[in-house]
Amino acid sequence: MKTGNNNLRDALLERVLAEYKNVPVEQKIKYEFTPAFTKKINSLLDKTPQSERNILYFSNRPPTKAGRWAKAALLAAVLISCMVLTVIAAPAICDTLVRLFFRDDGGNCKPVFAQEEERQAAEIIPTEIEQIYSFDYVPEGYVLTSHSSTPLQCITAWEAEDSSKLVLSQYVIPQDGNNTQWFAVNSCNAAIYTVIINDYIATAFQEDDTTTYLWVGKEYYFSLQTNNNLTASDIMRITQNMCPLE
Amino acid sequence: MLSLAVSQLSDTSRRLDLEEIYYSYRQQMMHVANQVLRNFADAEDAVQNAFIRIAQNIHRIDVDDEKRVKAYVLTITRNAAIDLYNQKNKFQEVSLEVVAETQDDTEDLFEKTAAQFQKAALKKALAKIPIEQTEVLLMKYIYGFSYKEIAAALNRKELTVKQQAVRGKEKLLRILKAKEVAK
Repeated sequence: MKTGNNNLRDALLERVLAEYKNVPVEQKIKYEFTPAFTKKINSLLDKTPQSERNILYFSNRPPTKAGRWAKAALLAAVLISCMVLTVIAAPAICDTLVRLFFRDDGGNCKPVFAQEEERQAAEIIPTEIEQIYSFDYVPEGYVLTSHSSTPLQCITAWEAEDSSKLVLSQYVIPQDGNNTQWFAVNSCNAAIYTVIINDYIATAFQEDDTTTYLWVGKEYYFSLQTNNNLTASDIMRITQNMCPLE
Repeated sequence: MLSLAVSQLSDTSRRLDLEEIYYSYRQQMMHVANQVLRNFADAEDAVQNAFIRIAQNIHRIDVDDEKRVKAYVLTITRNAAIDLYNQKNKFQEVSLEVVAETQDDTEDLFEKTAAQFQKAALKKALAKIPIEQTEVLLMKYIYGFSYKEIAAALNRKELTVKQQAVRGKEKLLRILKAKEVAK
């Protein structure tokens, strides 16, 4: 029986929390969990259906109203994805190297990668781009306008006559899971949802006339920015034709 | 199919909540457990046990309310650590007196009396009752757990939990009434 008395409720909470007032904030405690412990916890978390694995989670952030809406949107998208997956019997979702989270500060969503112990348990993550990926197919009218690469990132852009753009960015997964130097997506007014790109679960941030898709692939993580005049089937066809550049 | 999808959403939502709790509080859980056990390996075991108990009742927690989540998570962890300590030292929960089925007649009076006081006065009064009793009241009045659920979450006997709730409320009433008289 919950109480409707706010004073009692707050007093109880504060009394119990006072017991833990000497506990440092989460970020200041640096205990290194053993691999055995991490494995057990992951196993507990993995006791959910396969289709729910490797979904992008919001985590390690103070709860915000915007965050709640974003999560609600994400959950709604997961529901739709589940239904669509059931209907079209899409192929199984691929496992990613490490899990991708988002830290939402209320204005920007920044990718955050798995914690250190999980990263250590993962296979070796490339520290430099060894294989560049590009698209074999782009919709009619789009032409390659630029391509630049460094050891850590690679950006390829196509543009159509009406100034519509298609930009594929490829990044190495940062060594420091909490630190992505290059990427932050404006999440303030964006609609956030989940889509399947090339058998990987991607998060889409749609705002005004631009949509940014973000996903972790087999070895790297990718972003695809498009103008909204491309249809879902266009995106699907473009990404299905993603392949290593010769 | 819709019901299947809804059930998947519900599971997904719980999984999201569980992950959020894990990554937001695991270090603090470890700290609390280690304060009781003074051994990191045992503390990891306690955190793991606590996490299983949290997972069992995840549907009862509003993860967007940081204070409620923190109080719940650390309370469960502290109790899981105490359980492990007791197991290791072969202590058992023993009632020192024969307790009859405790009748909880204090419910209405407690709510009515508490409603007459401000938060600061209630907090001051709560500070005078044992934390074990406060934890039971927290579970009951904040999260809406039944005595049976509280007993499972804190790994105490149901009768013990009920008795702790009654004693906690009785003591709180005595303190509040004394304050009322003093007014």
